[in-house]
Amino acid sequence: MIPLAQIVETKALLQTVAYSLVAAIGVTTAFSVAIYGVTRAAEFRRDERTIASTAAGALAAFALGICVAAIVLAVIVMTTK
Amino acid sequence: MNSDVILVIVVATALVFDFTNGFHDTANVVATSISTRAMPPRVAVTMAAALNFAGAFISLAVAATVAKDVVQADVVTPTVIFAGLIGAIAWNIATWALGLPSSSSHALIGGVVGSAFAASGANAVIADGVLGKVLIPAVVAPIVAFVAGGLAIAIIYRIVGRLSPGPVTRGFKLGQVASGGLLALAHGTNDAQKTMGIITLTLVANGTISADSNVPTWVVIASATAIALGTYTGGWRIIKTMGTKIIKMDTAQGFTASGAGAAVILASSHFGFPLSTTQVINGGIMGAGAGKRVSAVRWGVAGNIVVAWLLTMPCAAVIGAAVYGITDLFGAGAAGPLVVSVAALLMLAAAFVRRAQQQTPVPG
Repeated sequence: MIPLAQIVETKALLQTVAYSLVAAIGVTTAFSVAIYGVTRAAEFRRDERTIASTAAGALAAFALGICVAAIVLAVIVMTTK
Repeated sequence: MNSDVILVIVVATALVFDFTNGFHDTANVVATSISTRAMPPRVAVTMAAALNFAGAFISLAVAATVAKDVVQADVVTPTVIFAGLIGAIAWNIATWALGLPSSSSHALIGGVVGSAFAASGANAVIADGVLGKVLIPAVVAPIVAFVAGGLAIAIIYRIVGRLSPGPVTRGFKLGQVASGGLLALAHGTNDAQKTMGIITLTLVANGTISADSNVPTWVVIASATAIALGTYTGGWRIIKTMGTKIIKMDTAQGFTASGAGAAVILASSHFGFPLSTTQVINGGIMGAGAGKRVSAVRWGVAGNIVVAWLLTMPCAAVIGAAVYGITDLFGAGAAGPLVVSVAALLMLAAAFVRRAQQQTPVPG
């Protein structure tokens, strides 16, 4: 009888689980940080707190950049598989 | 002549399967967006259909690999493929009628395994392949998606929980449009290729093209069109189950289910362990519900969906085996597939007529 560990590519499966969790939580967290940044930047702007508004905007831009990079990576994965 | 008739029947059946695949799996892509009103239903379905069509052209790398790890290559004949396809179509229609999301890929693999078993016995089935490539990932997919959805929504609520709801809702709706688009593209890439693989395999078996030929262009266009038309038609019963019956979804949960789902599907695809889109998105929806409050998930509905997942492969296999048995009664020629096709079309027509009669309002 062949051991289960040989039938299932355990390493590939564990890698899949780990990267799936990191990708899923990473992308959704980055997008919610972007929403946080955009919303707070607008609030700070209304209160005329320019520096805080700029900082929140930069945070939003950085988080959005991560999301855009994730989308580009996703399209590359689809096209090169 | 005889083999050409079988070829035409198998190609037509493969395209019908492709249509049911799009029809059945529309919900995976659009249910969360429709439920949270991120997009109007017809716009969501049209976008999903267009991206499914485009996705089918993105990559052809795995088009010829369908079912190669689960049944011995030398037992695969056009009649085996035909019976497997009928098993998958029958299961897709049955689960659609019950409004249950289930994996079209598992149905196809189950159907082919069942028909190969009926044709050549147990040795035709590669048990290790079925376990390692299908069953274990089928257990892993919903668990990973559930955990990812649960953890992600807990983090999201911590980040945006104290912000004013208007901009947050608008932001997550935009996120749902992007993640839904990615899902549709990935679905078109993965699932249309299965049909291309089936048709190409049949063309090779029939001697129409050589084994080292590329997938013919008409096969790519036909498969892309069939899955896009199926997606556009939309399996509204399943959309309703996924969008409103498992949990009452807010925009953050809708984004979590589709965003985390897309990330899980593409990450697993990158590592060569593609997981079922249906199982991932449904697991993500349940996780996003449970992450907010365990009692927010309607566990009875979730239980029905899990039962459908457990039954998909065995039921499609039994139908595939039975269809192979019936076609075999008519000999090795085209008569068997022809009789089964006509019978299946008559049954479908009768079902539609019955449904139309039930929907006709009583006059006066």
